Amino acid sequence: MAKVLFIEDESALQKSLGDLLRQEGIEVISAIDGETGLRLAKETLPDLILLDLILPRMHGLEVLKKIKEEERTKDIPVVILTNLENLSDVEKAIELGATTYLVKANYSLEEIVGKVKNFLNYES
Amino acid sequence: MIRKLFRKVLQLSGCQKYNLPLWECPSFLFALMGAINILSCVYFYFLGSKYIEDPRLVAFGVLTLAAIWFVISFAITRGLEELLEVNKVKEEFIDIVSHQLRTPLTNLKWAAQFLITKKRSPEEEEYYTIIKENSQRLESLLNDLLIVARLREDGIFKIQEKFSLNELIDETIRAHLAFAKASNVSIEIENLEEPIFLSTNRTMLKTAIGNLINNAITYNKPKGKVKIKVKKEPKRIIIAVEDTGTGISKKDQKYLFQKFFRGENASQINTRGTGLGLYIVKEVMKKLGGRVWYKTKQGKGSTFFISLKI
Repeated sequence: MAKVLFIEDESALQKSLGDLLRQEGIEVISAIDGETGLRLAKETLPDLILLDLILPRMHGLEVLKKIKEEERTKDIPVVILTNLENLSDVEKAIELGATTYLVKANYSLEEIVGKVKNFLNYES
Repeated sequence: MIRKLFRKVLQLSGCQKYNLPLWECPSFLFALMGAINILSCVYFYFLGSKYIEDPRLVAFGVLTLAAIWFVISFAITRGLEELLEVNKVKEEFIDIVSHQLRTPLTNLKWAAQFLITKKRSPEEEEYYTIIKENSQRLESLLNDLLIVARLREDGIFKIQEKFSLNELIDETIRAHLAFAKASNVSIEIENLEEPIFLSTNRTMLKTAIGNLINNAITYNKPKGKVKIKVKKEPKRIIIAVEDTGTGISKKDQKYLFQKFFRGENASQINTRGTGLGLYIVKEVMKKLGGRVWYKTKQGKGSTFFISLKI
């Protein structure tokens, strides 16, 4: 079963996207802050990480940087899932090694699930 | 070396935080103007003292003029810097709005979309659909306002990616299928067999195509049709969105792409519009290096075309 780590501080988004991914047969590990997300990434080695940027305790870009620095986690694809859409954030995320940058407001729940499934198939 | 010097001067001038090049930086221009002023004072003083008996008169005249110039240019520079500061605050405000307002809306929209995937009674479905549609409506209004506020910034348009136009059109049509069904309008697509890849701002192009499809459904007749055609030319791609609606009156045509303009027919058919849709299409296409145009026949319908260089 594919494993996705979802680092998101909004519990409502954790619930809706997390539940729909589980319904599709994907194992979802949830983290509601940056530090926990980073720790879980190292401990569980997921197939894909969905990462928000504005997070308590550690900013998403910092989490991304640390994930890409760590030998065991550096090859895990990281998808930025945020509602921030300024150029500097996108550039920084891509520069740090994010696979792609998705603005939540531009997608429906089904579209995001479809994209997650594509990333997982692509990786496997 | 020169580039390093320019960068250092830009740092000292404080214009780096506004992302302004040196030749557009008010404090640098002020210093440059001051230097030119001093040099011209010295030059005219020596020139004057050569031809006029009392050089003090020349010195007085030149210094008075220089002082006036100095005061005026200082006022202009301060004004420009204040404008830049206001603009920076505006950009920061837009970023905050875009994140803080859109997050609860996304929560609401995704929660409703999740509930719709579950088994439910017809009554529940009706209520979930109301929540879903209204959160989407609010989100689309907010997105329109954010795009309008950001049209003067280049930053967002510099976010470019390579993507499949076929998938983008497909995605945009799917997002409008429920609305088309509810409006009793069918959507057809033609000439999209060949895969086409573009390198531009995907989100903005999707917004432009989405606005045209949305208008084509909104201002159509019951049992009407929306046809989307794609034509690939050697140097550009043309996307046409054709409707079988009422067409646009001659009177309305000249204002069609103006901000907040709503045509007479449009206001009667759809009372909810903001008059931003076509304005956004025009401005977005301009920023993407493309253009928009249309043909219309009253009572028969309209076709809107957008083109992009490939």
